[in-house]
Amino acid sequence: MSERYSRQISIIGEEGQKKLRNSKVVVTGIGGLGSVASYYLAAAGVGYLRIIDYDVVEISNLNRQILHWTNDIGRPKVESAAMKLSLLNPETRIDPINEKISEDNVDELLKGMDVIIDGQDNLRTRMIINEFAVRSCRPYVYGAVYGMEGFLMTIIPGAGPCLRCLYPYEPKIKDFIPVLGTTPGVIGCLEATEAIKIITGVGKPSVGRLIIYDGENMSFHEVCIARNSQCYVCKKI
Amino acid sequence: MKVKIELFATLREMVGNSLLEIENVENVREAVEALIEMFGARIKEILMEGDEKKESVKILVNGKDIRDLAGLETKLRNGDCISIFPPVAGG
Repeated sequence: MSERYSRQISIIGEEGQKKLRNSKVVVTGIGGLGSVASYYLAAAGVGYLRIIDYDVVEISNLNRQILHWTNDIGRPKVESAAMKLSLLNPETRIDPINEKISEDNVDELLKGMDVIIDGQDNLRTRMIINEFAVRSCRPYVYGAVYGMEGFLMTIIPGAGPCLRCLYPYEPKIKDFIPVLGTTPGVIGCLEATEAIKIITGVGKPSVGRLIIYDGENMSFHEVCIARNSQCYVCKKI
Repeated sequence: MKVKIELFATLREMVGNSLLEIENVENVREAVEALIEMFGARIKEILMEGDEKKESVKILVNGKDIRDLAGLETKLRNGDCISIFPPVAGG
């Protein structure tokens, strides 16, 4: 096995490393969360990494979206990200898709993936992805940020609550969301950790446990989230 | 009797504080009413729909969702910690 992974093989084993190499992960949005998550997934040796986004890089992204640099402004995010990820790890096949995820294309864009990583900036698309994850029984790692706070929960359909159990209704959320750049750094990193654990079978994913990172007070909270027996998305599985 | 209220996301921003301490409340409903009295109509708009909590807002007592306890009528004890957060969607 490549020396590139020597520091982690003692943790996940040769077998775990092979599982990563044979795995397919999709990162749904390559902004603050997705930049960090995809960086660590490529670095860890995930064999196939699909990255999906439809935005172009703007200057206001650069405080947190670390795969995009000043000379990328105006470039499609997936193009900017794919270039850096390919340079980081040529052993990872990067598949950039410049599209917006919708109810019409979600099956086509996410099918066949072993793990789905949340890199979205709105709840509506997250719910579309959650429904796909539940009906196709795929693990989905939810991450979200606000200011200096971050939230993370891993959804393994049938084994714990889904995102709709957590948020039964979507309120109108303001468009401008303040974010300290390090916050999606923390949560994106945790999302990648969850994906690596799911793929290798090492450790215990945060299923039914909402992790709340409070950067202002530098603390982590863990909240038990039960399945909602009335949840119209996952009650039948 | 004192209880702590821990606020997240937009609620924290609105109140300007992440942790409050309030006294003499017997259940979650009274704690929410005390918050509304302290911070006014905007916080009520986020938390409540008429007399009931909005479904989109999570309220936990000592880490347990009040949906799995007795809802707004969940009894409080000295030192309890109430955590309140709206859905978080930034990325």
